Amino acid sequence: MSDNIEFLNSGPLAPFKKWGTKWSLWPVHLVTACCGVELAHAYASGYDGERLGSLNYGISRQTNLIIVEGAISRKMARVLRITYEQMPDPKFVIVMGACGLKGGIFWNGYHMVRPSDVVPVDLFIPGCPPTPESLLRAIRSLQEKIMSGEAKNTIEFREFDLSSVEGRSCPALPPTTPKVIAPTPAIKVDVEREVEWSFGKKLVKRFEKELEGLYDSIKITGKNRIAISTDRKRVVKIAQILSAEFDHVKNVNVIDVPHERSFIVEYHISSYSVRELMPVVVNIFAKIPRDDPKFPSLMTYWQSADYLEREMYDFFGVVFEGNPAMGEKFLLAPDTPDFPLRKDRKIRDECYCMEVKE
Amino acid sequence: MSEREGEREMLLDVPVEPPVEMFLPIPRRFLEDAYRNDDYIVLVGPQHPGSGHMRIILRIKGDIIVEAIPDPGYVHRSMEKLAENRLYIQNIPLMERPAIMDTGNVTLGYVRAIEQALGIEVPERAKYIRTVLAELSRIGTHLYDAGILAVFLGHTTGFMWPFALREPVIEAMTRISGTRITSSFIIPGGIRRDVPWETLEFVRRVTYVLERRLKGFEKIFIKNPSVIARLKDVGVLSKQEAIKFGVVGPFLRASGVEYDVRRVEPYEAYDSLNWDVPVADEGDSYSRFLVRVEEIFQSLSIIRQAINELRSIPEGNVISPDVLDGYEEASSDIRGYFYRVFGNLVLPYGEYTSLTEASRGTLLYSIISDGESNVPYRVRVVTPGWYYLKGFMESLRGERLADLQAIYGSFGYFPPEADR
Amino acid sequence: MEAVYELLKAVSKEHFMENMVSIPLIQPVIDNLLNIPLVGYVVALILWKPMFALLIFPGLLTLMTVLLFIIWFERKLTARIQWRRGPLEILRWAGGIIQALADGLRYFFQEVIVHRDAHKPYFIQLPILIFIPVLLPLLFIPAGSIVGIKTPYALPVVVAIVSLIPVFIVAIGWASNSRFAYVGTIREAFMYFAYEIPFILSVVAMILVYGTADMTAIVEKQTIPGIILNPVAALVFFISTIMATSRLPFEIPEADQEIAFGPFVEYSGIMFGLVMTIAYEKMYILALLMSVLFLGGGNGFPIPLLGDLAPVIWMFLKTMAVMVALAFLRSIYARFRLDQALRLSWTTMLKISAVAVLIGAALNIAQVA
Repeated sequence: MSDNIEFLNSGPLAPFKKWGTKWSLWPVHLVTACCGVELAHAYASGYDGERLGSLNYGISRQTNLIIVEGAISRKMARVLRITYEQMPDPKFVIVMGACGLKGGIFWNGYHMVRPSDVVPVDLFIPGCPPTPESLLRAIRSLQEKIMSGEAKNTIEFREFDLSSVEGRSCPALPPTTPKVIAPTPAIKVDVEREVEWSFGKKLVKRFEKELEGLYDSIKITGKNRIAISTDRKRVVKIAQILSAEFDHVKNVNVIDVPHERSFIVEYHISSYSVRELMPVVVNIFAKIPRDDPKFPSLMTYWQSADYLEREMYDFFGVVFEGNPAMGEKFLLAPDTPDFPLRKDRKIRDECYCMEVKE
Repeated sequence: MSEREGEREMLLDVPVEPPVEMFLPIPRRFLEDAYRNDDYIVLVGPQHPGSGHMRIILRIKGDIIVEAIPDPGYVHRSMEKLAENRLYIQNIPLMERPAIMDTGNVTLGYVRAIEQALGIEVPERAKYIRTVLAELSRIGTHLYDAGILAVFLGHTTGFMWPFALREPVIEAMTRISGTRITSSFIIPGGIRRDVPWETLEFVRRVTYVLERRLKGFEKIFIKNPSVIARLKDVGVLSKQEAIKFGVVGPFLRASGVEYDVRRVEPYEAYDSLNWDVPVADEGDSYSRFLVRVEEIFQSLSIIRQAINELRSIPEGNVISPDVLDGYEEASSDIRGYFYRVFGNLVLPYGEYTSLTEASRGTLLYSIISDGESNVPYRVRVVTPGWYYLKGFMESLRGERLADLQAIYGSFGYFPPEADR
Repeated sequence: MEAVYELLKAVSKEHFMENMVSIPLIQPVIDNLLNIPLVGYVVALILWKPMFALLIFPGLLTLMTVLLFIIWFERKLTARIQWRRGPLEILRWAGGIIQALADGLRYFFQEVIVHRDAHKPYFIQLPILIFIPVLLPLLFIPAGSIVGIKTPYALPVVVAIVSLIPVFIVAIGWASNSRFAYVGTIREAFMYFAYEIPFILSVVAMILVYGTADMTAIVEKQTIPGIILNPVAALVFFISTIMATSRLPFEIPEADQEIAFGPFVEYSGIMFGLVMTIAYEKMYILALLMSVLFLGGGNGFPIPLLGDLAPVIWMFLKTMAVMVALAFLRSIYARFRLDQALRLSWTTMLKISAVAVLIGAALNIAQVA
């Protein structure tokens, strides 16, 4: 069997094989991240990648090229590998974008994988995102590689003296300020602010009357923003009362405060059906202990909270009791470390390349 | 320096191994239940010509979709965690990445949350230029979605033309900001640098080109009988359902709710310009598409008005003096002063929530600051895609298998945006 | 002894020369070639009309050329409509005309994957077996006096053989044993029943018009092209052709965005190359049939210098016109849904095909043709 393959690769038919493959690089429709925007441009009217005989085509079995469009997440890495294995030989991989090269802007993310660890890569294209021109250049370069058998750099970056670039009135500097992260900051989500908002004051009065005994405090935290502090026992009752007018959830948020041993769970709610309430965002929040992260799901009142709650479970491990999908990973890959957004799950720190003056 | 950089580069390894095991993406009980009910399960995506970066698990009876459950997260790039480890100002490009074609709107949302915290008033000229940029992004995104919808319906010309029309939009953005897509042009307190008059004049001419070319697109795609047959009365979300499932943006307006953040909580220059909020009552795929087409025309009008207004505002000051703080010479061009001005940005203590009308709907940024660190304590991003995913899945119920692509396209669902 | 003599006579050069394609333009060259011992025999064999029909037109050579050309032309035409250039760089001065050849070569040298769940014997044989119903009809289609098998039942035979193709496609989908292949197969079966009846009715209408099913006679009788005599039947035939070859807007069984090429989802390499061309080959046959039934087949101005080749050229041009019209649809229409297509063919199409049959019967009584 391998003899036959060897015969095809170097025998008298090899030039035909190479020539056919060269002019028929069909990328599979595997969209992995945002560089897909530029990929689409490269194959649309403006740049027309079809000129090179490259046709964006349906599925893996019938194609011979994967263009990895930027970041590969843990979840996508599997798909990338499966797709690669599904494709018939000879097959090629081009990786687009900085994320695919070294991680780019997401290099220290907990959900990122480098494509070169998953599949053998023929060419990398730098850029964030690379322009369609550079993608077409890569396809050209891959064609040359198929004919000659070796890949080579297509671009040599010229060096510029940045200090003399026109319009720049002082030399560019990398971030000089080190990161300051307070070790045990006080986190408060309802800092009261003075704003000119008479309707809000009326609204707060109304809430105080309607929610008698259910809240700890109601504060105006900005124009059109109200924060209601409560606890997890009473929050269902508040939801029941407010859901008459506030018909959807804008945000479900969890804030991890490890040094206070608590999570703050927030529901931002707003209204589509009452015109005056449309701009108002009410934040109902409660503190829950960190070692017993349970919160009643408000999905019965606000269907729109469903996926947001599941996401928060993924990130923080706060169990929203009543949501049927608790305990399953939703956004994250099954092998991601649990609850990655908790503060004690550290990711690698940024480091700067600084020029040291002598 | 280059040597030292080389050393540093060695450190930039991603500390995870590629996954090796296979897994079943469907809950076991779902599979068993479907088997018992004699239903057929079809997995669409993530490597499928008619889906983006996500998997949709369909349970079909005959040709009718009984249930659709999503399997998102294929493009989850851990933005919220990364944002907790970077300076406020370094987060702008990060927060742009959910939807890079919508750069104007997504950065605007994050920057406005910061401005809200600092209580900065943006200079008039910057406000109008931001509006122009946001509307250009909106046109670009709607055209992108129209193209994707077309290719999902098998209409390749309908894919190519909007992408060709995106080229002048991108050219306009390039002339304004210097890069095709990821411009990160909007910064706290204003914009990176002033836009010269010739560029604005070019942008204004682009709007006329687009308007003329869109007529042809209307003939071949929007009014095409086969397109109407595929989209009309498909994937209907009634007004009540749309509200219940928290659908946002044009898709909410297509169901008859007149909600547009630009109207209900005006920001930038929107309340001084004259424009309409397109609303439809049907709530089907076709009206979801038409509302966005109408929005393109509204955006063109907004851009023209904004550029007319810009005529009378003197050039120069585009960054608020409140943030510059001693570096007034950078007020028309921040180049070189970036980290001096913004390096030590610390937001006052508290939570700041900004709502923005991005192209596909409401975009929420909630920044929690501890008042001491120069990195955010927590940044919460909820993107339009993530809001309407529920509505999208519910609207699939009871439709035919082939309608999946029509509904998918009509929502313009863009997984990188939803997954963040 | 008698039988052997007959057999030898049947394969003799003289026998072939009795019924040979005459081309006055290159007749001296042919005469010279015929006098060379072995070459003469081969030339006589190739120019023998039935063999010419099988090998040159409408047979293999034209089929291959048309396949290579129409795939390229379709991409090029679509590209022009879409404000771009299409395949180009491979052969710049000729507009990249050999693009389909490169794709074919690539497929030819690519690995053929037979996946674990496939029914191996059928999965491998069917794409090859399908060439029987695809190639057989070519023998019955006449171009002037060139015809492979001359029979009064040519038209029913062609229609019957063409109707076999979907059976093979269904079998391919079954052998693939994949979810999308299954859905695609069911769609193919549904579409098959939906277009087959209007298709056959429109052919019946034309048989009624001409009063014969012999295609040579049909072409001879068409002093007025069939499309003018019975435009309704032409319309039904054209729409059924679109459905039968699964072109947009009825590209339903192979809808790549919906079910990822349906029955063909699991094929790779040259196997996919084979199954992908089936639709184009079917399109070629139906276009030939359409030019015979409605456009006057090989009729046209006689070109004395080309002799028997003149009808070939006329018929080729007409066939290409039909194929270009079919290719053009791709860039204009979106894909209909299965239920919409079925509704269209079981109601509207069925009705107008009945009207076509009535017109055909009326013309038959009036003895127009």
